[in-house]
Amino acid sequence: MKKRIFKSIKNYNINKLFQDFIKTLAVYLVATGCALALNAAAVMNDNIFGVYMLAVAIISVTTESYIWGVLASIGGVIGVNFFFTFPYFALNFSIAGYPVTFMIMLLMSVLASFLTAKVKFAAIISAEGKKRAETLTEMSQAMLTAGDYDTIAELAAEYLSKTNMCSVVVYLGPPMQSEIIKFKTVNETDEIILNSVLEQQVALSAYESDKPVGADINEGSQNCKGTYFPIRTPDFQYGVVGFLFDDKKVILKDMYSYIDVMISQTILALQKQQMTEQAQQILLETEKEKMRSNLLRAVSHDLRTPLTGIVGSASTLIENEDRIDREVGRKMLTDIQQDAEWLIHMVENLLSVTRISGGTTSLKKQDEIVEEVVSEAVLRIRKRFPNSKIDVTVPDELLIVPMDATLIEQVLINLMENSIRHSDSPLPISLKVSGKKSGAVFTISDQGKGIDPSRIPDIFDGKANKGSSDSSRGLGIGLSICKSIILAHDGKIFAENNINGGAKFTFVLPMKGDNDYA
Amino acid sequence: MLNKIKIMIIEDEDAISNFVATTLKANTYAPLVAKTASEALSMIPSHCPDLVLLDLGLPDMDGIEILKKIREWSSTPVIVVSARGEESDKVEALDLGADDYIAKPFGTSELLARIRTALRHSMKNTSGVTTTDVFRTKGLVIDFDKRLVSVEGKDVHLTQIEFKIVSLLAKSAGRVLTYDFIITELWGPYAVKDNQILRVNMANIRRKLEKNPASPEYIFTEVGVGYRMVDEP
Repeated sequence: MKKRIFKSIKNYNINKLFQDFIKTLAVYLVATGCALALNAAAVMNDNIFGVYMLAVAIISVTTESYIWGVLASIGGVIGVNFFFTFPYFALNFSIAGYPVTFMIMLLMSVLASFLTAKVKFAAIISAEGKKRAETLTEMSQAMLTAGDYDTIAELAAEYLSKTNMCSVVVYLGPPMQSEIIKFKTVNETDEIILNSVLEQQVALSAYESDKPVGADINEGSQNCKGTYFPIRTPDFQYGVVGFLFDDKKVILKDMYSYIDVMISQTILALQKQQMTEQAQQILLETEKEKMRSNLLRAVSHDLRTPLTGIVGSASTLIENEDRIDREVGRKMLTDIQQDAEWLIHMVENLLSVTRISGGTTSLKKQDEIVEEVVSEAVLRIRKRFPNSKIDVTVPDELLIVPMDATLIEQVLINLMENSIRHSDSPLPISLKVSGKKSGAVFTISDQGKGIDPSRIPDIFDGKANKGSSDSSRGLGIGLSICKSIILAHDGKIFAENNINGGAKFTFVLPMKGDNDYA
Repeated sequence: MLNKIKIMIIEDEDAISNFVATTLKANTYAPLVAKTASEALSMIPSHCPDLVLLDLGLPDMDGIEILKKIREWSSTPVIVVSARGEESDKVEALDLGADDYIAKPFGTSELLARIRTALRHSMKNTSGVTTTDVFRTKGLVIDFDKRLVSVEGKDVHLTQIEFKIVSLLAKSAGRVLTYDFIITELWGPYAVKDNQILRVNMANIRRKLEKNPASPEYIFTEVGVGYRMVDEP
């Protein structure tokens, strides 16, 4: 670090140097003028030293480097010797006691220069410290509101770049295969530099070690330009932050510890995000678990009922073959057929549950063209309910959504069947799909009696209707399966009543590119 | 009816083979039932059925293996019967030479329609009659020679690829054609088996032919399998 400060002084701005030189020269000349005037007026020769001393003090305060104060004091001693001691207008250092005077004056001026330099440095530090404290508060506040990894990485890059006045890259996850990479560059070429394979490899080595790596730390050992700090806690690696430090900038001594503080701030935000996501995951898991147990309970009831019907009707027909008249026999056969069809439907629903029960990972999502899935679902429902009227609307533009087509088809079938069975209305139901920014929105609405408002909050929870009768059987199961399927797709589903009456079910599936880093 | 059409049912489940056989008999076909793969393989050469209904889930052999064996020496139309949801099985069976598939549970009318379609296509092939120059179904007319397509009297302008897809489906109307089959027919055997291009083309075709693309009348999608052109006069 020390080396850096010297280097920065060596590279000290030429312009500033010239200015300080002019300042020193001017003050020195004025002081010499004053001294000459005092001498001419013969006002106490002793004050001449005082005048030069004052000049040295002024120069030390107004110039950046203490070199000028030292030069001025040497100049002062020479000036006094040249102008004001015998022989006048000639240098003679052999006067008795003169070296002592010279030494005192030199020491005093050097001391003054050092003191002022120290004061100045302290002022800079405190101003910088204040600014840093402000930036830190600002950063932590901004990070507090960040809701995802992406924003946190972006904020970290932004603030680190701002405080260090250099280009910054933030990797979350191991560099070279990070899912989130955020750049904040001060000039255009920096991103190309930071993106080079060499730089990324150095970043990766920082990720793997627990120490900063790069140009600024082990100088010359690597040809890279960036300096990389791991973002990590003792037990978790989050990523790496890289800096392209500018050589010409004055870098303060405690900058590294400051960077450490900012990285800790970032880690805090990342940990918070991790915890929130874990909590959400647990919540989701328990909800799924709850749903599954509800489902099993409902199923045992709902499967037994039609099976009893089938067995009963069939055995009645066999045992009383001759005593049943044609009409009644036919009616019983129709009942058997309907119950069996209903069972098939139920079994298909249960199969979809097994498809998603392994968690979201087992979901085979593929890009599907929405109208193809919709049309197949409508075709199936029309086969089962030939008299039902369904208005289908899809957008003109092609809507491609990643999904498990079989499952989404099941959701559409369940919702349509729900509308057909429970709306108690012959009016057509409508199925509408539209592509919104939030995702693909599917709406199924009917013009029937609507949903009892008290049931809306837990309609997807798989609970049987309070006044549970066989006429409403399956309603709970079908809807709770819909919810499980949509949740497994990271989508949303909700039920409401139309303003003009009738129930309306809406679900939204995220489209491509909506997925967050997780 | 001296020469009833012989249909072999390869199915281990009695309840299903019973009802299928009854339905077929009632519709003037002559059903033959085999319960195991070995039984079926020994019966086929001696009985020479006109069509085979093959259940993929048999106790002694994978249905796919039977299909391969049949295809080694016979072009008898085979309709595969499988449970719904096992798309990959269906696609495999179709690509191995099955003529069609039907998903369990199925209705009798659906089954009979599939059988009729498969028989018609096999007759065409064996009798050497070239396909007709014009295909008609409902309001859709396709003139293969003039490369003209019209819906309810109105001409529809299709691109070359779109016309090829439509005519390919029309020539096998009533049968499902898998994505891979269509891609191979259109772009050759070495084309990348990426069905996205085909599906986008199909979406465009739907927009040109169908009144409502989400409720098609002419070309149906079998999600995960392929496409099927409607086969009603």
